[in-house]
Amino acid sequence: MKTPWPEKLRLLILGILLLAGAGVLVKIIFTPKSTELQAQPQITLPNSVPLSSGTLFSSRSLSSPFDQEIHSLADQAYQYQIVLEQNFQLQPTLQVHYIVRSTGDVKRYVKQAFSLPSQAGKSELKHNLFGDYLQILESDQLQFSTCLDPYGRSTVSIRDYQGNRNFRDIRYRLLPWLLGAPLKDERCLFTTLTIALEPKDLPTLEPPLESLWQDWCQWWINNFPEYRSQEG
Amino acid sequence: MLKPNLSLQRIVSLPMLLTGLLVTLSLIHLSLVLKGNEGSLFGTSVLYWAAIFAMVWSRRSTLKYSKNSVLAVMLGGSLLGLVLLKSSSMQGFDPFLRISPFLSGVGVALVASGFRGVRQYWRELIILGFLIPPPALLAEVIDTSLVTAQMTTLMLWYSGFDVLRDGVFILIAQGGVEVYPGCSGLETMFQLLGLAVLFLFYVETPRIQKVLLPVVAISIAFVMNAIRVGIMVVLSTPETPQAFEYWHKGDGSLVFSLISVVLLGCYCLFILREDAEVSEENADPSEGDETT
Repeated sequence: MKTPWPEKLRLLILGILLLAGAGVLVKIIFTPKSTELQAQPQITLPNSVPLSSGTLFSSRSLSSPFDQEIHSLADQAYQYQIVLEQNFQLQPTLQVHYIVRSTGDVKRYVKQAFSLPSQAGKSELKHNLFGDYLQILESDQLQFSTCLDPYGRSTVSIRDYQGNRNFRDIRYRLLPWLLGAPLKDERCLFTTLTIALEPKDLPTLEPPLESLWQDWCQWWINNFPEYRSQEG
Repeated sequence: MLKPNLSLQRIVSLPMLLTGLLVTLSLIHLSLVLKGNEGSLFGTSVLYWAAIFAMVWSRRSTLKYSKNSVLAVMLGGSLLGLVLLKSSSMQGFDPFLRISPFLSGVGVALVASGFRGVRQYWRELIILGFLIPPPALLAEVIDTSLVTAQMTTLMLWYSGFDVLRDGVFILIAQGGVEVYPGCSGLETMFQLLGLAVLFLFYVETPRIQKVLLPVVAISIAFVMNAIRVGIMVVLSTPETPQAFEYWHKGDGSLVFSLISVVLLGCYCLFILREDAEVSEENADPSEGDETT
């Protein structure tokens, strides 16, 4: 008697699945445990970040300023020069910290990286093309800070950062998750811009600094470090 | 002359392929759980998989396979493909290992018997469903820590200890403990409930036992955990930190799980004996009738 085609299809699918299952089982048996895999890799951040709105003056690597709960794999500081009218110069310092398993708590990162008390200065939540950033104005210092995620969004609060991980990233994460990556990509580039200035100069100096900040964020979004499986 | 019938269809039969696939899926699941150092989940999984094979095997002659459900075959095949793809990329424990046995069961059932035929595997799927809820989530949803604290206080008081309770805090003269949701024995209760359901599916029992056995299982786990917490309260003095940790997270905590399972086993044995005695009593009068 001839076998009908739906039955043939079923036998074919089952045969393929059985062979694939046997392959997976052999792979699992012969692959070492995750703890036996290599230790965390060395990540290096670039020494040069070219921006149109400022000239790079110098750059240096930093040691992690965070406690053991914040896993920063690479830390770098960059000094820029912005030339304004009448040869007036600004020299902001920009820092970037590559954090894995981040909670997105920018205020906590700022507090630890700059040894600031929790309610230092006047802080204001501002927005640009990529999302939110925090502006802190102290007596003689202006600081911008934010957490850039691998999908090009900029957040300040834990709620916004986790919301993006839980609801917005999912559509990009399902396929990598099936292939072994974590369901959430919890990496973040915590970045800051710091400059000494008088509060009375803020209205004049804020636009060129914001322009540099936007260029800076754009560059890091375009050049976000590649994911490596050992970082998770 | 007789020709040997060695056509492909006779060698590769549907039940054989389905059994082979289910065995492979269970071995993949168990290997990954073992690699992830999840001892408790491994033990439960071995038991549940073994029970499922036994249940399917005992009904093998009455199982109905569908013939023309292409859509169900495609859907089931996709589910199984997804389980295999995810399993191939796992390196340690992943919460997916809690749901993959259920997905595997649904996938194989769909391929074997189509959408309508899945219903005949409801017992097996319920058993695999018992692997799904993670203990941490259970503790978040059902918090029995206050009732555990009340029960432990009662036990200690009747045992002659001067004991005080403030919410989930149990205090004695030399020390005290706070009963966290994670320590309220919910994981053991759920484990024993799973075993009770397994027994009810596998063994024909009187109707009353279908209600009583789950209640007995939960009660055993609850009382045994309350005793464990009581021991920890007594050992919460500053002089005995190691003994406290032994009963809190060490082998001592596992001893109580073991005792709970043994007690449930004894109760199940009691049900079987009762049932056997009732059957014998029912059989005797009929034998007498025949002889008269």
